[in-house]
Amino acid sequence: MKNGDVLELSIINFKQHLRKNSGIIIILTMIIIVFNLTYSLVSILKGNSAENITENSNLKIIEASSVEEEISEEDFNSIETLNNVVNMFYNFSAGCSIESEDITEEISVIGLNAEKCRKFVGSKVDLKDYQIILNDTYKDIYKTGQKIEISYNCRVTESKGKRVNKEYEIVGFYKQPVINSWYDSVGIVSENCVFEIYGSNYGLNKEDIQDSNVYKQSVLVFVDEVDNVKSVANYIDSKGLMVSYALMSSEQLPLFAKIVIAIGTILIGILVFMGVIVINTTINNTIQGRYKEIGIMKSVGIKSQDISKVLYGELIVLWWIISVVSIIISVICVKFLNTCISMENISINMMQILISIVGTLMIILSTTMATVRKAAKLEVVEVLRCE
Amino acid sequence: MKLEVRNVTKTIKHENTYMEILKGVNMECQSGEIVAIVGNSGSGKSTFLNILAMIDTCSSGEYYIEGMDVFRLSDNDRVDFRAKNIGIVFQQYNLINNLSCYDNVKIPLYVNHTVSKKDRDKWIREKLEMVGMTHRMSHFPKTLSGGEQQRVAIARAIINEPKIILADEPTGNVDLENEQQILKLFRSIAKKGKLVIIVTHSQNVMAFADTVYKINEGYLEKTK
Repeated sequence: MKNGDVLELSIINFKQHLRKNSGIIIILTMIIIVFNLTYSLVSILKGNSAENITENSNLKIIEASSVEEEISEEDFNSIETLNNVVNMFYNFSAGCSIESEDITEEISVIGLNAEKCRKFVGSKVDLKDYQIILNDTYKDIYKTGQKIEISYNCRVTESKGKRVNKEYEIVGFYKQPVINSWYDSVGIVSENCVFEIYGSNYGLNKEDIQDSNVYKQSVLVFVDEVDNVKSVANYIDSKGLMVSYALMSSEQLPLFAKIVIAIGTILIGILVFMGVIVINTTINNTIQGRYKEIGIMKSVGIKSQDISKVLYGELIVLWWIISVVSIIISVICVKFLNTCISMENISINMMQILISIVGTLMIILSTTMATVRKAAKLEVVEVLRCE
Repeated sequence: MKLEVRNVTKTIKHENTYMEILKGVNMECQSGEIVAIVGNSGSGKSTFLNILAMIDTCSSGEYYIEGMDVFRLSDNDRVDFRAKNIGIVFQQYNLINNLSCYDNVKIPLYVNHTVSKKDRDKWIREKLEMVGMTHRMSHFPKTLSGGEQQRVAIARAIINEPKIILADEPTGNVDLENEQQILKLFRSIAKKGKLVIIVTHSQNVMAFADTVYKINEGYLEKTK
């Protein structure tokens, strides 16, 4: 038989047996719709997380601290020289306040050398002692070049202290990143200055602080790309340091997404199981009821392989109808979710359409192959004699 | 066109015993003839007809159509040969209930590549007109009477203009009037140069036929 005739006869037969096949159509359509909705929902949930991650440059920062005493110079150097690390410094700060005519404001300051400061703030400022870079929330209050008083405690005795004021020149402003261990307002001063301020709090001088290595307990590491954060964090972790970065919590799917996946998977599993039983039973019964028809077709000269083609042709038509109907309904459901329930950006992509329709075809063919093969090999005489 | 059967035997196994249905059947027919094969129930008439139709095999013997030993053909060649040269009419009509009369008659054309797709409609209508069923072509078999169904079955059998028409009790389930109509049809088919072989119990058919063979105890003898 020519392929066109196979298709023609398949379509005629399919129309005649449409009512008997309605159960199969309903179950398989439901499987595809549930699969598409689950897939789309999970994709949007994953995508939201990924979007936020890739656009947020704060998430390129890793905080690392030593569990014991200090981070060794060897570990510091090995981390700093990694390919994906663009900047790194000790996360050592001291508390002070800004004194001006009308304002007294508590801030903390971190100490950076000139080079690390330039990389961090992204400007060509050459930070010297008694110079300060404030965060940009102060842009409207102060100006570059303005002199301000930085005030901090100086411990005199165990129970007594005094307030020390030092004049600092504002040499610029910077956009403060979101770092867990930082206070709301952090200014940048030279390393000598932060040692001086910190030491004064304890009645020590800056050399004492430098020698004590107390400033080496924590570091901030800046990575070039968000995609590289995890690998750098893993390396730091391998050095025995405690690591913290924002991606850690974002990597796990939210609980809601997990519930959606679990329910969707269970539902699909149940539907597939039912689908296989329904298809197998329906097709078996339908084809067995058509043995006489097959015998008649063979008696007029239609060969076994053509009988197979016709039967498979009917199944392909069935599959095609199911695919079209289910995709249309899936798209409608997605549009409904997007508009009525205000869930934006849910969509159906080509990959999931492909997976669903190929999967359906596999289910149909695998459950019917044996039956079709048996029917095609029927002996004409035996069938017509039985009838 | 000449049909020749030589020493055809058919033995079947039933439980642990072998039964000889046909013990050495010989027959010779020519185109244009109506041949009747008669015999008691269980004598092997239908078995012999199935062998002639090439839908069953024999245990031994030779079967020639136009000088060709068709038993030597491969399975696929046998199917092709039957599709082109033999039309079969069954006692129970054996129409496909889910297809209309038109589509039932069309089925054999799917394997006849000499008729183009655009000519099929013309052929089908011609044959349905010949059997007087054009007005019911879109109807389904369940809505037809026995005689009407048999006429559609005859249209299906002759659609590919085969050389041989084999009919197994074609008038067994119809009334006298329909029987006469069916026999008239067979006569008009034979007049076109076809060989018609009918297995029957009917005295009317025996009287109608040009040649009558009787199967008795596995052998075929010519009685008319």
